Amino acid sequence: MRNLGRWSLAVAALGIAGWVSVRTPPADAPAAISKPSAAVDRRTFNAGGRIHLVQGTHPVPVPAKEQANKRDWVAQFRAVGSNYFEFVTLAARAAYEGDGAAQYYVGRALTRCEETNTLYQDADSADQAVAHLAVSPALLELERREYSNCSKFRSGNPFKNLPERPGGYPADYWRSRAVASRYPVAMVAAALDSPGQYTPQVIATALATGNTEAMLLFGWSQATAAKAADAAPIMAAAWVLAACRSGANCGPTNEALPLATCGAGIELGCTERYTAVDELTGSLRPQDLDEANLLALDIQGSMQYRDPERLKKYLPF
Amino acid sequence: MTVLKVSLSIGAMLIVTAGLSSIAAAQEQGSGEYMFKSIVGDECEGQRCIAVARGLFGFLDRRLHGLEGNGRACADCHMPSDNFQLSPANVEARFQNLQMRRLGNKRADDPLFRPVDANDYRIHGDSASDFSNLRENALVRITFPLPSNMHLIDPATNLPSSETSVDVWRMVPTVNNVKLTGPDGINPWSRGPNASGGYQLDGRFATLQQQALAALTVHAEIQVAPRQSMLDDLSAFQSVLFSSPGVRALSNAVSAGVTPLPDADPPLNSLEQAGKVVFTRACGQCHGGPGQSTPQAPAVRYHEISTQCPRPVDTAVTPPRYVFKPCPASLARNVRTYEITLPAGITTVDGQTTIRRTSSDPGRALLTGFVGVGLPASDDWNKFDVPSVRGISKTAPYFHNNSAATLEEVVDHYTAFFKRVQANLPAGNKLPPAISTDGVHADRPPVPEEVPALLAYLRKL
Repeated sequence: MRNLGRWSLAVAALGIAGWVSVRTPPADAPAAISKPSAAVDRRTFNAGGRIHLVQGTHPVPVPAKEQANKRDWVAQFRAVGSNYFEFVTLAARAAYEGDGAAQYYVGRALTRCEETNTLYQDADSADQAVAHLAVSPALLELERREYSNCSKFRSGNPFKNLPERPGGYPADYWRSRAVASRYPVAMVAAALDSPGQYTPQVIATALATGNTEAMLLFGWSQATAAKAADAAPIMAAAWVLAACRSGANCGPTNEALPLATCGAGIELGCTERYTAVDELTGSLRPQDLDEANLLALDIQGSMQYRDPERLKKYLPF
Repeated sequence: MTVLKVSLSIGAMLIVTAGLSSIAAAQEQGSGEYMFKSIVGDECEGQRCIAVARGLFGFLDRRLHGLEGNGRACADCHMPSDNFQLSPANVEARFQNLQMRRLGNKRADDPLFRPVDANDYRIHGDSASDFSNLRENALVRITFPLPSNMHLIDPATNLPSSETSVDVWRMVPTVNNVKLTGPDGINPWSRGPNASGGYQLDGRFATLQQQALAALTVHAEIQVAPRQSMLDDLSAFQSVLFSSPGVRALSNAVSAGVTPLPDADPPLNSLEQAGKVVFTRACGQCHGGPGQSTPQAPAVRYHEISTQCPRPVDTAVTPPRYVFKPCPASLARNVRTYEITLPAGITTVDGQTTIRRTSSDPGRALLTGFVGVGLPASDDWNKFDVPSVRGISKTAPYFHNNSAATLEEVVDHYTAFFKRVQANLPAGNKLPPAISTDGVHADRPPVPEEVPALLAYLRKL
């Protein structure tokens, strides 16, 4: 675990850096919508990787309210599949001009392709790059497509119409801007990714916006972090169920869920109609699922008040 | 020179092609995921099928999204085309293939060859490039913190060094049949970890999830801890991998609590049947239970079978009573000498509180530090768990350091091992149950006339 220990230090450092970036948007970015207004507590992960909250005094950023007449960047992001270059090209201007959803999903697309391009940077060809997946032709085909799609970032620049910026426009830049814009999904993602930096208040505030993707991300993250035998998955499952019932994309096209095998041609265990709800139904004991369903109804009921305080009791920490 | 290079490259390509031929053949037999289903079966053996499918993806995935690994997938070492293990032939084929690719692309890569598994990693770090242990023996580096009572001896000074960890080199075991191995709750050793068996050669992991986490951390060098669900999925996938339909059926019967359990063996001819009788008598005491990996009491759980280097040599009499095949230089170079501080109140016969032992891999002693107390058979020096022999015909070479190239060499080794046990037996002691049914007669080891039958049977496993 030497590397993980080293990573804990790195995460702590990045978390601090991330917070600074939350407080201080990039110099060339448009002005923030509003200033943070409440208190942020520090958070750490315990030995089991579970979120552990520590009281602190940092202010809480208030999530941006969903703006009317915005493009549905979430749907656009999912619609392009692995053609992330197309999405980033499409969303770059909106992201630059301060659309938190565009910023967040541009960041996600870039992260994915940065990872892919790094992995295959020394490949001879697409065929050679994905040859290790020969045992699963469906996976091989998915990966070949992603290799080709992400390679477009090597030859093209989706930000060519934006002002030049030192360091360009990497994924980190957009993720920071999305948090600065208080996009709820970005806030939840940042809270989950940066141990010790955020409080239940931050997460509750983001969730209280009613953003179903934020609810899903939060619930799914908690559910998959825990061992199946633990009690925490019930509350986490409740958040997933509430999100799915409230309209979140809970199917295989949501790349945040590990459902890519469904509809990928393997036809083992699931189809393209499989959802996160099916996953919970299959993995939880019946009595736990019943409890999660009841809790989900409670959460949905509480969500209508858009009041973070009402949601705190549903946070599993 | 160029001709030689090209010849090597062509040879390597042929080996790679041969290694992958089973995949290609499987794919030709059906569209889509024929190979996948041929591996995992249609029923997922009690695992959730989607978890199995995700586990396969995770097993093959070099990206390891968000974990910041080194580009290795589980399958880079547990090669699906090589029965989910790693053989020297395939390593060398991949190495030669990489060299050939580098003629056209200087940055061509195969993540199997990461510096962490180079011999000179401790000296040259990320620029290490001597992959001798990997190429010659298909061994990977495993690093253990030294128990507080064990120190390495600096060969230059012959004094204890300041090293706090040690590298040993071990083969990559197949993940076939793991559903039938691991902790079984019976016949416990006198100290842990995992007194009743575990995963990996020394049984140090209690679950497949722990094993997967450690492998991702050490071999894939991930920088971010994976989610529990990913480890669960990998476990689900590995739990449906079997070396044959017979073993799969046996595992299903075990899971269902069916008795009597079905025979996992394929149809046997008369020679193989005779070999099975020999196996049951000579090998089954230790390679017992459904997984053929559970020592049957009174045989003890963890054993030393003299596969480490240096190998024992009988110098007491001429001709020697037992002769092991000497370790080749490619394995002998991994030997280190340890100084072990004995527990308080215990000394050697000449009053020393420390002892020195030499081994290429002290096994479970690296987990416990329990060395030099009582008879050699009862401490942890050079002790390993008993691996399954199901599917053994497909997983050459053998032993923890791949030191036996063939099943014939395995049998030869055990013949010498059994002889050594008898030769070293203190006067007046009973023969151990591993070689004797009554403590008096060494009636378990195969006699030379039985070896062909035993080999015939092993080749059917």
